Amino acid sequence: MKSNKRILRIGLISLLLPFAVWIGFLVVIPHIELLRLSFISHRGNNFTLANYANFFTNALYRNTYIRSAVFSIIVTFITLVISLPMALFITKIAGPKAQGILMLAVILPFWISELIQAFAWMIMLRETGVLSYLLQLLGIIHHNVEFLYNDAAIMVGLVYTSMLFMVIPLVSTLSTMEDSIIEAAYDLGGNFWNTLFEVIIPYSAPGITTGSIMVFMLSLGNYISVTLLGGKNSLWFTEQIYNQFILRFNWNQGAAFGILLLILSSLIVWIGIKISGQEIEEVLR
Amino acid sequence: MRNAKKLLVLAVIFTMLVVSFAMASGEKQSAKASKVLRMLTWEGYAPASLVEKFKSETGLDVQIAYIGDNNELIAKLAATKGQGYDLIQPTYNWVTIAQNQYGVYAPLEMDKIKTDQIDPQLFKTVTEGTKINGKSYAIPFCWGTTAMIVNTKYAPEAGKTYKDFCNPKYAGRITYRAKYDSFYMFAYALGLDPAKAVSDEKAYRDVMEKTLKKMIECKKYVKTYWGSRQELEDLLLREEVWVASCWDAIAFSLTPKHPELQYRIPKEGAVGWIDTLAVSAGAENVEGAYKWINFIMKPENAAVIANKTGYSMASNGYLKYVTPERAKMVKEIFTPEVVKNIKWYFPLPSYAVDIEADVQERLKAAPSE
Repeated sequence: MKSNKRILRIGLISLLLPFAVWIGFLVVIPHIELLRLSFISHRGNNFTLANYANFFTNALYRNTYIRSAVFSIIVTFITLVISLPMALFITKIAGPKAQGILMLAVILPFWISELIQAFAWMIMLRETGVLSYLLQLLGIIHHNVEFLYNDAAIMVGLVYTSMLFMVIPLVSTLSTMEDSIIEAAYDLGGNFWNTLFEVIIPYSAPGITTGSIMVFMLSLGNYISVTLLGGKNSLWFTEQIYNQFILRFNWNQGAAFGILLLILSSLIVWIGIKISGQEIEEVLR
Repeated sequence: MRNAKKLLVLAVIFTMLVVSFAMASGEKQSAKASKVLRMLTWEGYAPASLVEKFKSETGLDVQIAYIGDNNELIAKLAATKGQGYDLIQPTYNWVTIAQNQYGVYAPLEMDKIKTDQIDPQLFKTVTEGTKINGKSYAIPFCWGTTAMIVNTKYAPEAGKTYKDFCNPKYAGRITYRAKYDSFYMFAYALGLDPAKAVSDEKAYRDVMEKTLKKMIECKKYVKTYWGSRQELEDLLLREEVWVASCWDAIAFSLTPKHPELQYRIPKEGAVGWIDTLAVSAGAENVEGAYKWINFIMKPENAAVIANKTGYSMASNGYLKYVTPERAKMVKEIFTPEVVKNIKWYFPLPSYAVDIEADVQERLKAAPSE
């Protein structure tokens, strides 16, 4: 019995070691360094809070953050609305064989990089692109129309790149749901809508919350899709951080923005969890 | 528990072994350093054929890392104080700011450079412009211009002035970058002189604010701000835009196949850049770096790069070795008057870097109606 415990402990240590090294070197230490940088003035070496104050006093930075956050919330909602029926279909309607194929179809686009995905969307949406051509073929429009370089194109790109991260948690929660629960709902006189809203959605709430957190964070932290698809109005908060580091050589301000992005986004997620009445432990499970 | 300790000790020993191996191979590399020349440069500046030739002449291997823009270059060098590279090719106007803030370059020893191979005019501009405490940090390598490209099928009249970037006639058919080059073009079109104003913070702020105001006004006519060469070429070839800001090298590669796309230099003058050769402060193979400098500036070698990239070289007499079509096109576009009127990029003091970043961000954030 005792030796069993010992083996367990050795196993635990050897399993945890790579993880601890990974987290320590690549997550904790860089963040501590960022935190330190963010409290030091640019081109000086003294302690300051100015880097943080800049965010709140300069309307440009504040508004860019708000714009990015609001967009990300909308993206999260759209992704949920699209992914829930997909997950329902995969888990409850499709047969076992079709299930595998459908999951593969969801995952397949992620075998290519986000950059290529963005370029593919550019080919689809541009003025002389596929969508414009098809709509003309169908006689819906009569000359080339530009679908690229606007806020909607940004949304399309973001929803597409984050869909997988919503579908997978939804599928994993819904697959634990007994079909009989849905049957019971119908037997008790429920129709499609109140079965959906009073049985299925409450049941899949943990999956919805996990997926939403991931999609929200991914969208807010996105850089490639936004810059490529957004065109002239695509300023995103991540671009502001990039600009500070790369355009202005101001690592201190960039670090402060990075920390602010982390804190403010966590805050939004926390509020979201509270509003939806979830517990963080529940969601992580 | 004892076993766990043993395991831990083993793990520590293993880690140390790995680290010492890595360090040993690192040492081996620095011992080899005099046989290797490490360059940080742009795509096309060290083509394989020249690298081969250099190796057969000097016995030195060349390792090349590529950069995408000058900010990235500085960020890369600043992290290591120039270590890891021997020869670096920053753009002229970015040399002093990187040197002042991070000290990443070494002063050039002019007696080691065959200066008679280099265009005297450009040599003077660059060595004077990169002088800090009496020492120069760069010499010219190649140069090019940014001006306008127009599709003569749809906009035959465009391209005589940068004001066409704000011409309602071409609304939605215009593209340029949301970067400093476009700001300079708009400023010169407004009759302002950023090169003159840059030495004074207030004057420069004033010039850039006025330019920004105009550019926000003109934002409604822009299709998009182009970011990469590929993006610009797509927009031009699909005829989605008719009037664009453009590098001469892009035009040199497009015009022969698509004669309707013409490079035009407006009356305000082309905006010009000069890429340079500089030695890293952390160079391990300084001699090799100078060998490359003298090798690459030979006219017959410089011509190889000119043919490949479409840039103009700072090497004396390289045009004798380029393809006849190329030589003809260069002579037609860059007449002496045009060259005299080039508005060279100017070195930026740190406040100017902040001002430019600020107006660029505000331009992108501005609503376009």
